[in-house]
Amino acid sequence: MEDASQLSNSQNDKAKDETTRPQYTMSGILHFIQHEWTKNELDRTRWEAERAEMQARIAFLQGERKGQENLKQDLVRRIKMLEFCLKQERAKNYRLTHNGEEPPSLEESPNENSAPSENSHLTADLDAYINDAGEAGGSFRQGRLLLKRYLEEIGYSEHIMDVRSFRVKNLLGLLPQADLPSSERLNGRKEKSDSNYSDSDDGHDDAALDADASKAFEEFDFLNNMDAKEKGSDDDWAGKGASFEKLIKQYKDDPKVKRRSRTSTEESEEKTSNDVQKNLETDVPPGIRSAIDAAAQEELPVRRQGRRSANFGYGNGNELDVALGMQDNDNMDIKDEFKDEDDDPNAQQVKWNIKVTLRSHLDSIRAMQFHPVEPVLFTASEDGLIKLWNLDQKKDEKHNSGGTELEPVYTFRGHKGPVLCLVLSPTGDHLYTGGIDGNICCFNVPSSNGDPFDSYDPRVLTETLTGHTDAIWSVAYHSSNSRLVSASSDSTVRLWEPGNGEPLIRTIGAPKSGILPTSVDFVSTETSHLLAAYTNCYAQIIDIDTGSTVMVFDFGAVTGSPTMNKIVSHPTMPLTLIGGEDRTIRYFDNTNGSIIHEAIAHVEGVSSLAIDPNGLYLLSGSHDGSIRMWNMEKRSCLQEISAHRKKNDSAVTSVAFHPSRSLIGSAGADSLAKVYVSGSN
Amino acid sequence: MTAATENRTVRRNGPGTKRADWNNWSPLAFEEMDSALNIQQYIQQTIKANPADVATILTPPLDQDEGVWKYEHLRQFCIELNGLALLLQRECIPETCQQMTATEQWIFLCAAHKNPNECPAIDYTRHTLDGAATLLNSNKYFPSRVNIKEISISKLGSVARRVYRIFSHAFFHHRKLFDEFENETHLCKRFTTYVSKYNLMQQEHLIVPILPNQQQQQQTTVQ
Ligand SMILES: [Zn+2]
Ligand SMILES: [Zn+2]
Repeated sequence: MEDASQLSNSQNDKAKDETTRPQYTMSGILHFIQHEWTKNELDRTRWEAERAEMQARIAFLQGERKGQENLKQDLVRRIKMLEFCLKQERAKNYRLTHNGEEPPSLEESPNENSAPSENSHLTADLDAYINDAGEAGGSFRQGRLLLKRYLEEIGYSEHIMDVRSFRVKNLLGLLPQADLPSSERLNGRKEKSDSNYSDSDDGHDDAALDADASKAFEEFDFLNNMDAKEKGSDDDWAGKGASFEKLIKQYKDDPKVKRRSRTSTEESEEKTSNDVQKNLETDVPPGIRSAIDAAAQEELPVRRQGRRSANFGYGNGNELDVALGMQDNDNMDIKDEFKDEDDDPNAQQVKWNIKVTLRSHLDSIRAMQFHPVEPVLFTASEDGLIKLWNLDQKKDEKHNSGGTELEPVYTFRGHKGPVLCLVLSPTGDHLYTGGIDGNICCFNVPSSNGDPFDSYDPRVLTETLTGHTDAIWSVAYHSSNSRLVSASSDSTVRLWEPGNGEPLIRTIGAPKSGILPTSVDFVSTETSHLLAAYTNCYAQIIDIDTGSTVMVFDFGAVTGSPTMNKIVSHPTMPLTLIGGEDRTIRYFDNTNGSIIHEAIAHVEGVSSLAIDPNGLYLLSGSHDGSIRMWNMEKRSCLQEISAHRKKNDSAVTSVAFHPSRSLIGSAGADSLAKVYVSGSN
Repeated sequence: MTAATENRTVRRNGPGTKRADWNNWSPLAFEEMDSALNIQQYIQQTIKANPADVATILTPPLDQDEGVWKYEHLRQFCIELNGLALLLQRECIPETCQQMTATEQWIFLCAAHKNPNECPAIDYTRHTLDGAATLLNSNKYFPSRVNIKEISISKLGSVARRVYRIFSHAFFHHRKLFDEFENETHLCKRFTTYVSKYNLMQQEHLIVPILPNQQQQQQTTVQ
């Protein structure tokens, strides 16, 4: 109570000159406490969001660190190996000069023929081998330890590389991905072939992964050839490597220990991926399946390889331990690292982190879209304005804005009242916006490097398309014939040709009375087809040439009649995604109108969807304040970002992918737009 | 979904909402607005209820922090002034309005530029509104909409002074347009009451005779 009175005192001091209010009303105090509590809550959510961002950053940096440490260790071990080599040479020299004292198995002549005889001995008896080692002195044992570590190391570094390339691939999703696995393989090989032990690695790989046996044999052959060229003076080492390999093979042929090294994680992993495949086969119609398979083939090998190499490193250690009669020792920590990396799903995922918050709108932002090529963004807001942002903008000293923040380069004025939707032409030269005023404004897009305080050019607004009698909620641009489609709450969908004397070409009424169109998009695989979503849980494909319905999507049994807020076409497949007020994202097959998949995706209504240009990732925004990144193929959530605060019951209103850059964006009822970059930047 | 959630009014202008249904939900008591942007919600709700009722619109909820209240009102003025700017784009062209003037007494320089510039009226209008939006969103001066720094309050006065010139230019040079806008929004009346109530501008600068006492004043000076 004392605190409260003090606080209200101080408040009153401030307000004393204004009015004389009752000093300590109960409701006043309660309200003050409530207010403070709200503030604290807000701060807390902000801190949590920051914390999550920082954690993602930390995880990434830790990964980087591991990679660096690993590289360092690798180099140190190589040095040690060379030292060991030298010691071996000296020991051999000694043995040669003291002939007879040494066991015949270790008597190695400089010529290549010695290797087979050595092998036959080694494969004959494990104990003998260890005894040999004992006789040869601690250095040999130490050498094997190093060898073991090194083998693990190869596996481990390969794993790291996989994680990285997977991450890069994931986040880019824009690069031709088919290249990556092969180039990665080459890298892996290069690293292996640097080592004299490489053939033993691959021999091991062969045996452990009999599923991939044939492929691995090819690798093996390839590497043997490479090694044969490289061997030269290190012949005896190559011989030893081969002997190890034989030893390991023999060990693995032993039924008792066979496959023990295969961890359950790999099995379950393979099982799940098989299940995924199976699901795809059962759920997806043929046309889509091939496309998904193609995507999956780009995706899966990398994952599998990463998994395999991790396991490979793991198994290698174990098996060598047993084969060489060694106990696990100081290598334990490395294995734990493997495990962590394997078990932690975040380690292999792309994380999007906020790059910039765009503050300039004064009321809820309703729509956003990136320029097709440039790092340029357009936002439309309930404050009646559309703003053009250049994300690469250099701070211009000409303006008296008093800040160092990113400011819009241009502000478009054309609508009376809230602007609700926007779309860019494929070149990014023209902008079309729809507003609550029922008009569509056609703008020429000014230079993204212009002066925000340039003089007004009325030619920027080229045309205003009038005809709708109520708010326009969605516009879509037909890429090939310069036509525009708009959806209005006057219940019609209209087709326009801007620049034509009579721009309105067709008016398409609602399929049922009482339902209103909410969202439109063109079908990527059939350019004369238009997707339209409606209130009351309805969506259809319309032929824009005739205005007739081609297909009505079958929602099945749905409780209530939730509005379908956003409809988007998959960029390459006859697949349609719809986000609904009922928190659900639904996948539809355009060929028969049936639901392929539906899932509750958010805590509150899904307001917006965006698909990356390759059709691999889906971004969704919701009035629960979060945006979520989804893997389209697995339909799993990869990341959630709490993005925007609520105004009334609205939060995130729009999400977007940059068509050609690794950028995503979100916009919200809190008047803010945010741009995110993937974690590696 | 549970029955409780379904029964709750969802205050959201979702896609498909008709213009007539925009923000058309049962008013919420200020105490029940639990979002961070509750002041903006509250202001817009009272405007929606009756834009002519300036006194109610400008009456803060009990114990409302005055800084935030003034700040959010100024934001709202700038939002609605975009409507006036849109109308001015139609007929306020550099050929007729080469300078930003109201009465012939002053030529206003545009402060959006590093060196104040003698922009034509339409550019002054656009630049001033864009500059105001930037300033009101500035991380330096207004990093939070929940808590306004004392030092930033003074910025509100300069924003108010500049945007007021848009009213005065429209009133003295585009009277028909001004009346059309004012009849619908009562924005100049609300703005004049606001800056007077919170002493953001000096009375002699409020040259548009929109309030009853201002009109009397003008009549007495004319006589
Ligand atoms: Zn003018
Ligand atoms: Zn200017």
